Amino acid sequence: MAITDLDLSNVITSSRQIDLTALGHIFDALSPQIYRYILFRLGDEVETQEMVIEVFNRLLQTLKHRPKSIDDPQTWLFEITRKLVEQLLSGADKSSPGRLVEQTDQTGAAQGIGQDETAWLGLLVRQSMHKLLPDQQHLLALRFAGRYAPDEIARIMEKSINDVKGLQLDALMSLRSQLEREA
Amino acid sequence: MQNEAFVRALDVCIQKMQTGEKIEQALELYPQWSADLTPPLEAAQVLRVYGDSLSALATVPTQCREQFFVSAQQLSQKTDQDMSLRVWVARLAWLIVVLCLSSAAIWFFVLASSALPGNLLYPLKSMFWQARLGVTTSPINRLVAERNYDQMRLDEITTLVRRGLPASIEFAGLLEQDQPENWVVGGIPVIVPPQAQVIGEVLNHTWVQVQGKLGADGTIRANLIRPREYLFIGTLQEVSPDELRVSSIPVRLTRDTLVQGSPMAGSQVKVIAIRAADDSLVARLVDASEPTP
Repeated sequence: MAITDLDLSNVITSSRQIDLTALGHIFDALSPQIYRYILFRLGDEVETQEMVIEVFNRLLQTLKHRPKSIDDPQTWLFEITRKLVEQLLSGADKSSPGRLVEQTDQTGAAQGIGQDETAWLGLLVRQSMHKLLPDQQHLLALRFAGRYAPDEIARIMEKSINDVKGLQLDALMSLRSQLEREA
Repeated sequence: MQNEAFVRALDVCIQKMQTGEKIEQALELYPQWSADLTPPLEAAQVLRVYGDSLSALATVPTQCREQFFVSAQQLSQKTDQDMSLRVWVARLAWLIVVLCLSSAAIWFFVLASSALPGNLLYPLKSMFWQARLGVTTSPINRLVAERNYDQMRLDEITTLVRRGLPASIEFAGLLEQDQPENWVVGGIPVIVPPQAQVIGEVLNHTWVQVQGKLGADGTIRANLIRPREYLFIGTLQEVSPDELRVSSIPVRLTRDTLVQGSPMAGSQVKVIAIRAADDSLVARLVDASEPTP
């Protein structure tokens, strides 16, 4: 089933109760991409799990109270996720400027590269990405964590494909410079 | 440099790299842009490696799903509580609305019941009385209701006269004096100017109906005066030369009473009567010509 074909109207029954089976289908279909996106940007599994739950709780609340405000579930979910990630990162920036550096990276064990190298790479990427514009960070996470093609990213970001490709070039050029500085 | 073809070339190279090709292999298609494409592709290469390292964690942990469902169930229970609370609040709101409307209706009715002619609520009071008369089918009950209505109107006019409130008025009362212009009806002085219409046979010491205007000086000038007549249809129970009893209502007969048909006990008769000073009814017309239903 395509994500855009998901029928969200079944989650809340006519008696305004939550149908847990329908909710399960929605969660299973949409949560992997959201999970990968958050993990890509935060690098922390515990925070990622908490945020996934928060994102889907918000989906549930919105389905219950303002179901018509969701046209495309995927776009809606990524927009909420992006906001939560940016809030967390900007909040963390203010309270602890070195958060991204201090965080223990938990990724990469299966890539044939060592834990230390993986941790170093994760920190480098996140630190460098954090210096980019919000739209650039969002796009790179969608492209390299979600592996979405430019046309899918265009729909999620509600931009044209050409804009997405242009933004991708700018984002990669900026990232290249940041990587050089951080490294 | 950032033209459409270049941007498209970059995207093609990224796609190739995502299938496992190295930067050099991807660039083989675009040797003319090799130098310019290399920096962004190096950044893409770093992101690809980082992204691939996440693939090992791509599956959403089971505990994440479980935690979400616990949270959803809690929300569902909260929803139930909210719903029942909402139902109670709605019921309470309805009760308050009903109480408010009932109070307003009672207050409105009380206010209307004390309204006087010329008052905004007076038509409502009149409507209520007309409705009450309309639904009273028993002849004797209707007669009692009409007499009460007459008395109420008389009391209203007395109050208006006392207060000196000008108004168009209509009331019934006992004619106690019939001097050429200065009459007294129900204890209230009424000026009957020569141009006033007097309809029918108006007798002293019987009830008459007055239409006219009450001035600010408390005087009533009549436009129209006629006998107060009561009409009812009932079963003739007793017949004697001087009196009839129609549906328990005694009615006196006089020389002037017009009798149509042959009134017999048990027959249905229509009676038009006037009211004497002693509250007895004096028949003007007894019509027994209508067939008994």
